[in-house]
Amino acid sequence: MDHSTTIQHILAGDSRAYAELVRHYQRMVYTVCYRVLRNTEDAEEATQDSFVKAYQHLAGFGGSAKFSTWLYSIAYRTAISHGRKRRSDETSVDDLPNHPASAPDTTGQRHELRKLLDNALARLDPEDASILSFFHLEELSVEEIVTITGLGASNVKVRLHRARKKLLDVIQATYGPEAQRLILEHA
Amino acid sequence: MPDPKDELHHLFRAAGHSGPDRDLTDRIMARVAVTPILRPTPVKPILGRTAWMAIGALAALVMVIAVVIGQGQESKGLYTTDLFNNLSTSLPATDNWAIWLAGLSASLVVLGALDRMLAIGRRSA
Repeated sequence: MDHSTTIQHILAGDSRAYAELVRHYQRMVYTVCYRVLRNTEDAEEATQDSFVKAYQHLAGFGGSAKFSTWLYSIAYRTAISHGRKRRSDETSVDDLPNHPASAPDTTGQRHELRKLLDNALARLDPEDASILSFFHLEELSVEEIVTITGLGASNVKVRLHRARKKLLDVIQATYGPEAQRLILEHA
Repeated sequence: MPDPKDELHHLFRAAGHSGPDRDLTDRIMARVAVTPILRPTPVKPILGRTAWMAIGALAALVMVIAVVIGQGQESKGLYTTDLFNNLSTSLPATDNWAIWLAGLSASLVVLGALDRMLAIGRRSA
């Protein structure tokens, strides 16, 4: 999606135009932050910081990459940085909330699926969980994930492969046929 | 790109994005309202384009003179002025224009770097 006109308006002084970009991308930015931080409060704080940083440096956005890739890169690095700061009082997987704050359109089945996926992803490395979200949820290419994470292409491919396998194993081991039923019903 | 028939891909798509609080946009915009956009200020060199062109022209002239003097060493008395004849005997390796060219290039690089450093220093002062 091309946001060049909106960006021009913002750079010309119309800061309210930025709300359009925030509304468009906040759910994915929040998802990335939540995958890394696994805590709703921290994820919201990192999401806010990511958008503020992106706004501050908007004049430096050259347009060589997609705006979404540039923004996700900021969000990913911000979340990683927040995670490092709070590593000392890291939340254990058992203390995780069942799911992040529900979106207004959350239906019962979607809620169940999200809970299942969140709990399974919480057992993966945070960076791997983010990479899986970029690939499957945003349908980004490996090249775009490389740009966002700063990892090498082969590293991203290996991580994707391993994380997928581990996630499927966790889902099967934890939920068994119930997971299969939920996925198939919603497919 | 992920395979749309992939089971895991279905799961991610069906579960959708995690949802932040409804008022997150408002909170972000409240912070944005008091945040300035950082604009990169370009470094303006002390010497402008015209000055650099003049230096280049002068350097080229020096080169031409040096080459002419170098050629003149083989046939003394070619020059009509004592100045060039004296120069041709006092300057080392005047017939080797490659040395002069290398020296000139190095001088221009040093001058350019110095100019940029002074401009950055002036901006940050």
